[in-house]
Amino acid sequence: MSDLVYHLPLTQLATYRGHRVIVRAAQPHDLIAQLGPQDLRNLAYVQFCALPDDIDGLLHWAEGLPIELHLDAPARDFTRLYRCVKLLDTHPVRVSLPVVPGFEKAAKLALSLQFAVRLHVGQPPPSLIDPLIALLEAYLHQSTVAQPVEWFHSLLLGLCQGDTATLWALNEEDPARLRHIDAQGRERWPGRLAAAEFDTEPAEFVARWGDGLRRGGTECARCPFFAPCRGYFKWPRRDYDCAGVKAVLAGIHGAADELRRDLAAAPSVPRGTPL
Amino acid sequence: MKGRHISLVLLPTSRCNAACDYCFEDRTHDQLSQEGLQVIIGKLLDHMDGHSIEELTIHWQGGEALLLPPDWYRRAFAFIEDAAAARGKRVAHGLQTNLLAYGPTWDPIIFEMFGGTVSTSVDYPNRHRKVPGRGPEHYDALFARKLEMARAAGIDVKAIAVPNQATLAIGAARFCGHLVEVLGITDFQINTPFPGGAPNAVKRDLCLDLAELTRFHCELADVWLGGESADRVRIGPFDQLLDYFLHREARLPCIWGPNCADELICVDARGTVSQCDCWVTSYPEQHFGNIFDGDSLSDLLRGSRARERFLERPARLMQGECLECEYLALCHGGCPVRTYSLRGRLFEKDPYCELYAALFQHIAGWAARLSARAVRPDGPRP
Repeated sequence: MSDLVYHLPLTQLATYRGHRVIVRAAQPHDLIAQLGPQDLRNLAYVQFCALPDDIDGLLHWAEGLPIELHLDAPARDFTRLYRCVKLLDTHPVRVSLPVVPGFEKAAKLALSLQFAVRLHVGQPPPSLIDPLIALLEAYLHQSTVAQPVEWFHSLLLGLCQGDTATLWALNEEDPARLRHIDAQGRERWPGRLAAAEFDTEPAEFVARWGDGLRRGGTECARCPFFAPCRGYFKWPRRDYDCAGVKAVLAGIHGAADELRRDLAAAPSVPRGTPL
Repeated sequence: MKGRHISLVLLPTSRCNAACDYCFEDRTHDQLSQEGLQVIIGKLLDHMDGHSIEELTIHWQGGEALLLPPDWYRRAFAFIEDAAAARGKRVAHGLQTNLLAYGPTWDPIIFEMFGGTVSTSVDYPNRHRKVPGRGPEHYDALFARKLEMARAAGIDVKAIAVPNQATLAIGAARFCGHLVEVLGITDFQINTPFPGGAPNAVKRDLCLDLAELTRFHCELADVWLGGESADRVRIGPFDQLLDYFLHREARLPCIWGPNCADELICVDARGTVSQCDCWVTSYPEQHFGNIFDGDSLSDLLRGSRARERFLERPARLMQGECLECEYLALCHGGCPVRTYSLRGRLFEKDPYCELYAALFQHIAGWAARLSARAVRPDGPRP
């Protein structure tokens, strides 16, 4: 089996049996009816493209299987998350949402209900930078936040551990790792790259895109965050002003430095030390 | 209902041997029969089957639960054990009692059914707990004698306490000292007062100055955590909050869950189904239905517009200031019954919001200091 993961609609599952897959579906009953035990072995997670109307059927189906709930209009739909809380008893559940006006309400409620969160950040406009920074602050420092916010979380861990994963990979948009299968069964590159045509090999895209930006005189040439970013925020518009997202990245870098220093300075605490 | 667990607050009798001024219960002569209990348990197990719920906790309350005889509980326990085992379900039992009817004949069933633990109610100073026709002093003396008897029998007695104006006047240290050192109660929970049920003069004055009550809560936390008794005494909800802020597993009280309608239901001796005990006895307009009607508890719950309003409440509150709160994850708008009894509306945040936020902040501070001390034992004491 290759390392590629295919992100596909339930209707295309039969074609990709034997591959590592992420399955997206509209309603639980479709999924429960069509996924057999043999499919679960190769399933990274299931994604609901909108909040399901009734989640009861999922509660004891494939317990432990990760589920992602996508909120396409987070400001409108976020309160419906209350109806999905029960899922957390039997599944790891992540709420994914685009960074659009009002996203911070949905992110806050999701975290308050103990859902993990994944942000589809894209190229956020200046008006959404402050909410992003506020969410980062809450993720880093607020004692009531105990769940990961992606991509903050994996980037922070990567920086602490010397990992070299890029934002393309962390956001599941690296074509070397993931492919998008559309409703007609056509294979596309993942995420925001799905609509474009390329003459680059998928495995080389991230490196080539980054190198091209640096050679082309964009701000990437002098950016201290280029290593994890690799021009992620310059897609699709190369002239996107990264000032705002650099502030977010600086916050994560600063926290990683602080965490490393604290861990190095902390005395070891014997196991079982009572608080 | 929550995926794996459901709680049933079961009121098998509405009779009571006390006449507490602030009681929200409707004291009648209703009493659940064994046949009625079997119907309730059967429908509840059906509901659990239908929703893949594996565990049930039954909180036996009243009225006064001990006004049914021990043999009634023995038969009830045997039936529930058999019925649950046949469905592969696990059932735990908790008993809330004023202890006034306690005697040694209760010991076998308390150990067998309730694991040797009961929860009682105690206020200090006592202003409102009475038996009919007598004053608080008589109640206190009777209660102390029964408490001593129960403890002598090896029963672990926990307690719920509701502060009153006199409690605030004596302060947290004396209050805590009385419960722990005089009564020997080392596991108790502080509840905030609310005027459920039929109005009376006492209930009109039941709600205390919020700032004073908040200060009392924080001082009680300081007395507990700053003294020498923290290891041998547990005070709820402070202990659960401390666990939460220390990132240990924490079971917060129902008033702070994402939605209590996902967690529990209440059934009284008449079969009335409601959200919890105050709703079932005080607010008929909020009843979900009667479990003895129809074939299915699941259908009753699904079709109840009253229950739908409970399910809607947290989401409705997110349209207001709760969403801005730093402690949303802990509270979700607080307790519906406190809101309804004090404000007459459901879709409003808990009137004790200010107290909760201050207490959360206070306990979070304690947790941070205790964590720092665990890492650096030679540092300053919290």
